[in-house]
Amino acid sequence: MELGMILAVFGAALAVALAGIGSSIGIGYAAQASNGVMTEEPEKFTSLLILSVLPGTQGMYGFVVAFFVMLKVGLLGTTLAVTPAQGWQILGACLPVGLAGLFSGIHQGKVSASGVAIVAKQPQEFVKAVIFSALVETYAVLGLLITILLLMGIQVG
Amino acid sequence: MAYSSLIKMKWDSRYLSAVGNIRVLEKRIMGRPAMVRLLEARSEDEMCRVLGDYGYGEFLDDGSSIHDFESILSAHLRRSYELIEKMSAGRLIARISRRRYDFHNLKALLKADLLGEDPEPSLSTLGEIPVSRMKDVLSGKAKEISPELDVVVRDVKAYLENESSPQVVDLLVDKAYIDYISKMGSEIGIQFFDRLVSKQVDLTNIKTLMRIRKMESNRKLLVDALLPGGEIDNAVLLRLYDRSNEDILSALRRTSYASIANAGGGEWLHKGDISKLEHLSDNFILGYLGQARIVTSGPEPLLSYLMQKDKEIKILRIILVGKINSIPLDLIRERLTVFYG
Repeated sequence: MELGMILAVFGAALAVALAGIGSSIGIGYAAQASNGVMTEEPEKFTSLLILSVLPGTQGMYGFVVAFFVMLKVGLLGTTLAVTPAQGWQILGACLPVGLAGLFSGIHQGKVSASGVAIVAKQPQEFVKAVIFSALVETYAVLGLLITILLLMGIQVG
Repeated sequence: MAYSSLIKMKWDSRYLSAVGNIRVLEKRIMGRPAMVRLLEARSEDEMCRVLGDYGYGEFLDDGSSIHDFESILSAHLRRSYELIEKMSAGRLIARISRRRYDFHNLKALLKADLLGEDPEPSLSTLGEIPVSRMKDVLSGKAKEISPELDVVVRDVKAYLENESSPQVVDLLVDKAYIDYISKMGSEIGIQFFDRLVSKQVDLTNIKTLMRIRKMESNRKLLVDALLPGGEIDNAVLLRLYDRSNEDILSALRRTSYASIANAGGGEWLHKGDISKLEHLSDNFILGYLGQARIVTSGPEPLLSYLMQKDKEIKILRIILVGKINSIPLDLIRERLTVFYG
């Protein structure tokens, strides 16, 4: 495999791995807190599930980006020639979604875990807990957006 | 109260699930409105209904009468401790908190021994160590209770040879308990515990100062009884020993315990009311733990829950004793002011 292709594959792998790590840690936090509430009030499952699932989006963004890179370099069909310069560009383009996903996933998990306390004590304020958690999401979305725009700007083949 | 110290706290994900659980359990703690409802209940049935709403139902359903409140309250409190013990993150915290009752029982036995009274009414069933074992050790039938309690027994006996006062028992046992929790705190490595312990050291030292002044005992006992590790320097407390009450209050006002010094214009100190000081100290620690509201993942909410349960049981005992013995409501309310200010 050429260096360019290696770098592109590395970029795709980083995007999905970093964002995935962020999401899994984040969901882990929120779900642990949710489990604590569920032992006493299992009827709150739906609200708790929504809060627990929120930090999961980063992993999805990473997955979408990796898929996009694979399409771009033809890994899913006819493989294209990727120069080292293009490879570095693709690797760099993958970083926003990977890094923003990693950190925002962890922090969104913490905010969601705090939101679980709101659901436990004042379930009518559930939406506010979701809004706070969604604020963190903004930066994962910005990371995804920039990654996609950068990838679209890179000409391969 | 400053939140900064808690905000800086390390995120400890071991407590996430336990704290989630506590947030639900906290809703069932009887607050002031619930206590007022109970106080104003017109019949035993109504009292049972109020208690049933707050998790006491299962202990009333098995045919127990509300007159048997002592066993209902201790069964309920025991279950609260067991609940925390069952959470993997809470086991150690519940165990450390429960040891308080062992020290309390030992104190009751030693004092009863000294005064020739029956210790039974003041014994608690919540301790980890069977009271019978403590009795055996005190009567010389057995040798050891547990390392930390054996030291207390030895110290108290040594002191009582010179000064036969129940206050000495209070002082030494309280000191041993704080020693124990501070050692446990550093062993389990919860930073928050250190801060809590240093506050408890201060409050115990203030209590000690007050007790020894009341006993008009010698300064040497104060030197021995003051605990190290508090925020207030022991030298300051020693200087206050032969100062006036006003001097003590103004010194306290300059510390973080100003709220205690100001409570009721410092009347507790003028009157020498140690039990009032104990309630004020409990409320202070509860206030400190109240910061636990913002903690999502740490041991504070667990400790706070257990302390709130202890307080709930104390208040319930006053209300139920009063209601069952037909004491006028105003008198009961007056007794409750120590808790609610």
